[in-house]
Amino acid sequence: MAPTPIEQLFAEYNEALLRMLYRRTGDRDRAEDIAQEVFARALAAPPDNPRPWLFAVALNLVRDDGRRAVRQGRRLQLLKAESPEASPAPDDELERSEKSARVRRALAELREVDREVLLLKAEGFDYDEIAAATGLAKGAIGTTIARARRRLVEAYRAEENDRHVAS
Amino acid sequence: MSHLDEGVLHSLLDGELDESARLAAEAHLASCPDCRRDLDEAKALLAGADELIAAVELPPSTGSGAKSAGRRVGRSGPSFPWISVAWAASLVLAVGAGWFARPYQSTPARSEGYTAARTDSPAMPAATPAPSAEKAVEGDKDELKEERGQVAGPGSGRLAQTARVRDGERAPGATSVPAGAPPAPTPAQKLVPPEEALRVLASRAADSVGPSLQAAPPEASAEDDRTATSSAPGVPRAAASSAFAGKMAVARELDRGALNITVRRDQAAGRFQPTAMEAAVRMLGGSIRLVDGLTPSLVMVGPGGLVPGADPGRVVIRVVYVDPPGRELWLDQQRPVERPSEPAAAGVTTTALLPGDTLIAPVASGARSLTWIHQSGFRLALTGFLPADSLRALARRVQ
Repeated sequence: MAPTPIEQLFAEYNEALLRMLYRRTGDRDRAEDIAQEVFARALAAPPDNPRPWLFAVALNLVRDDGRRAVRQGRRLQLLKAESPEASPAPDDELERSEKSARVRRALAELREVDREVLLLKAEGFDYDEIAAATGLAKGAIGTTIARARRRLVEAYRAEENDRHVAS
Repeated sequence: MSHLDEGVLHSLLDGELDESARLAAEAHLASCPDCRRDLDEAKALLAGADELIAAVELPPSTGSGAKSAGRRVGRSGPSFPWISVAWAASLVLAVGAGWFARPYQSTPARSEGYTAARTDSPAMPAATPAPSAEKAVEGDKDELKEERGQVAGPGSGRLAQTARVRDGERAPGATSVPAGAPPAPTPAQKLVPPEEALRVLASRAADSVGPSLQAAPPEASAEDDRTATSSAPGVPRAAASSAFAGKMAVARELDRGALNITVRRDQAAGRFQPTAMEAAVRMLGGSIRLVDGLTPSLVMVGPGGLVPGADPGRVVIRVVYVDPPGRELWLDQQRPVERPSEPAAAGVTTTALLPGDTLIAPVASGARSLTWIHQSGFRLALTGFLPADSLRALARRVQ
């Protein structure tokens, strides 16, 4: 199968890739940087099966980038940039933002594989594609995704409880 | 037939069972109320998880990404060919700058500590204006460039006295230090306490822009991201002019007296830089507190302005840990602001915590921060992607 031209890959997958990366990292700029690195790699070595390939590379880069961020203490800078105090938002927007933050905290509580499976499923991946992107056996995807959904919902409920206790 | 496990139920709901498996599962469900109940629960979990993930929407670009830079120079919308060209230009320039800058790395002007990095020093070839494509992405990719340039690590002696200026005029003779430049020799460095340097910078910034600290002009050209060398005691007026408006002067790369100054246009500036424990103790002015039972992976130093509630005029020492599940957390510590001989600087606001008080607050990106005043008087903040109870438990282990 002939590789898809890189421009077409970009047009077709960039937004989904960015969305998945943002959900994973919580930082739009970082997501953009990683997405561009993914496409740069696709340009250097055009994949035959681009969708799982692009997302698998992106998830690998997130993991590597996370380790670098720890070493550089970059995350706090990002936190500061995202601080709600920096840009007051209307109530509904603030509520959405807070919910988004709670979901990301809940996602952060999950195991890496659970988180990745959920995010890929949210982008419309079927089990075959999830298996290809994560390296899991297809037969294990159902169990993994069931566990991931349960843990996400439970972690989010815990976040909600913490919030109510705090308030 | 035995009951259907959770994985089969979710596979069924996701339409991932093959025909025979699906028929068998449906036949079992028709006769098993327990599994029907489990199926209903699985449906609820599926819907709940999907709804939660969908709540994390991709926000609009902040304008600091590479694509935004592209728009600043007149392009609209995603354009991958442009990105690749810009990257290529940037890469060529970075490599070329590094090559041409090599002879300058060991010159006395670069090795005399703060006073050596003068804005009137001969500009390195790297300081030549970049082509437009490179300019467009320089600022957006500079963090990545810095990452690649920081391979030297703590205590490496990378003493590039750079002041990255994202606004205002380029300092005369401004030079850029390429990523990966070899360490400069360090004879006869003039050591200046970082806090004193910060005060000098803040003072000069105030002198330059007056008491009303206005934000930088909203329209920034693609040339706004740039690098200039500077000296701490004699910060160039250009660097301390409009570029400093509304911004904090930030000391970075405190390594054996070297001081890098970062000024960002759109947010509080500065970064944490790795440092040695011994140097951290000296800069903190007291013992470094550690979390008992965890092994620090890194010690860093950075400006207080990066830590909410901390005194922006003082450095913060950060001890970074990675817990067994791989989650990062960090303990920030700062010397007390108020001392009899050192009253807080004018305009400095700090969290009004007293010894024994604790403040726990969520911060963006899903982390939480627990702040308290240690019995020694030091201000400590433990931040991580952990539940509040876990943070409290860890805070009790700080010694």
